[in-house]
This record gives sequence, structure tokens and C-alpha cells, in this order.
Amino acid sequence: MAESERNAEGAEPAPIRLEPPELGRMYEDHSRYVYYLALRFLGNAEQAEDVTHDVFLKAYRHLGQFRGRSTLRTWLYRITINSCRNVRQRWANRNVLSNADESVWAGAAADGPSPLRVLEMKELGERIQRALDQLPDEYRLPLLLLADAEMSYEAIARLTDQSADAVRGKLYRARKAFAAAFARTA
Amino acid sequence: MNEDMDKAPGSAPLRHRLSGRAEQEHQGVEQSAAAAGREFGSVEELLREDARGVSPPERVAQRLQASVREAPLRRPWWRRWRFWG
Repeated sequence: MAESERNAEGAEPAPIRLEPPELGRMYEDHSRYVYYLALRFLGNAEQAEDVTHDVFLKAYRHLGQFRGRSTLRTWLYRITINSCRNVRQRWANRNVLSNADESVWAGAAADGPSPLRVLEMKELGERIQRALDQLPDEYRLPLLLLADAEMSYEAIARLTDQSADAVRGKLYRARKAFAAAFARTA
Repeated sequence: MNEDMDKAPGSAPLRHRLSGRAEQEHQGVEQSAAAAGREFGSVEELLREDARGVSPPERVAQRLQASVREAPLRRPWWRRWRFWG
């Protein structure tokens, strides 16, 4: 199974127009973020696809329960984190799939970036994944949430059931651990 | 809180450059730029660059559409009732 549809900036595939429109809008606005969190948290493209599908199906079915106390993105992230944990439990001790399926890269650059750019991004993604895989969840999760520029320390704190100060301290240690792990992947 | 905590620890930027194998496979005008590598000032910057290049495969949306069509959203009976009156 392919790791992801990696495209350098500006090379997105034509989006599918999902119906009903409220699902389409939600998917269009948030699916990249949900998929990225799932992909890098789990380190497995097939599982990340399952999670993304399940998150939006659940969210669509329970949209009436969304009270607006957080942003829609934060609500979706909460569902994503729970789904990731469930998936990980279900898949525990099963066959480990490689997340470096070469087939996806062969055609990824057809309409967009150059093969070299695609390769550069692929290698970067693999290094990031290897570095993240070395971190405990308590570091990996806040780092990945912070990758979304819309997420504040307060929002991350709510999602991870900690105080904002605790998140700030944890992120400091997480950055340090990630930087060291990333350097080792060179 | 100390603002330094929001920065990547240490002064060394996070560097990424193509592997030698990849460089050999892709000889071209872009090669020198890619070989020189890229630097990221913080972990967030690095992850955001990574995230920009990732999107869910189209089959996820197709699966989702099929799932929604198979079992369309049903209004609970009390909501359906409202529309009868």
C-alpha cells in the first residue's frame, strides 16, 4: 500500500466533490491535516487511510454533537487521536507493513513537481518518520499537532489533557529529542 | 514562560539533503540545488514542510462517499416528527 500521495506544493490531485456538501466542505478543509497526523503518528499509510475515512464518517454522523466549544479542527483531531489509538491496539503484533512502498512515487510527479523534488520530499518524509518513530507518544503527538499552524498550546493542552505550561515544557523536550533523532537519520 | 522554549533547542539548524544514490539517479539542472540541501530553522518548520507535501489518496474520499451512500444519515424520530407538523 502506498505511503501517501505526496505532492510538492501546488500539485494537489483534483478533489472529489463529496456529497452532501457539509461533508464535502469538512473533508476539503481538514482531511490533509487529519491524514498527516494519522500518517506520522502511526507510521503506516494503510492505517492512516483507514483512520481518515473513519474520522470523517464519524464526524459526519455526529456533527450534531459538535458544540462549538473548540474549533472543528480540534474536534476532528480528538476523534483522530482516539481512532489512531484504537487502530494501533487492533494492529498490535500483526504484520508490520513497510511505509516506504516505492510504487506511489513512480507516478507521483506526473503532473506536478519534478522527479527530483518528489524524491527530495520522499526522503525528507522517510527521515522524519524514522525520527518520530524513536520518540514516545507523549512527545510525538504534541509535535505533530504543532505542525498545524492553527494549533495553539492551549488547544494542544486540551487535546492531550494537560496544562498549557506542561505542553510547553514537553514540547521543549520533544523538539530536542526530535532534533537529535533527526540528525541520526542523516 | 521563557520564549526560548518555543524555539528549536541548540543553534544547529535541521538539515536535509538528498542521498548520494538519489543524486546519482537524477542528474539535471536541479541537482546542485538539491544536493546543497535544505535547512529548517525549527522542528515546526520542518514538519510543516513535510505536511505540505502530504495529502490523503483520492481513494479515501471515494471510500468515504461510498460509506455515506451505503448508509445515509438518518434523522432521529423526534427530529423527523418536527417536520410532520
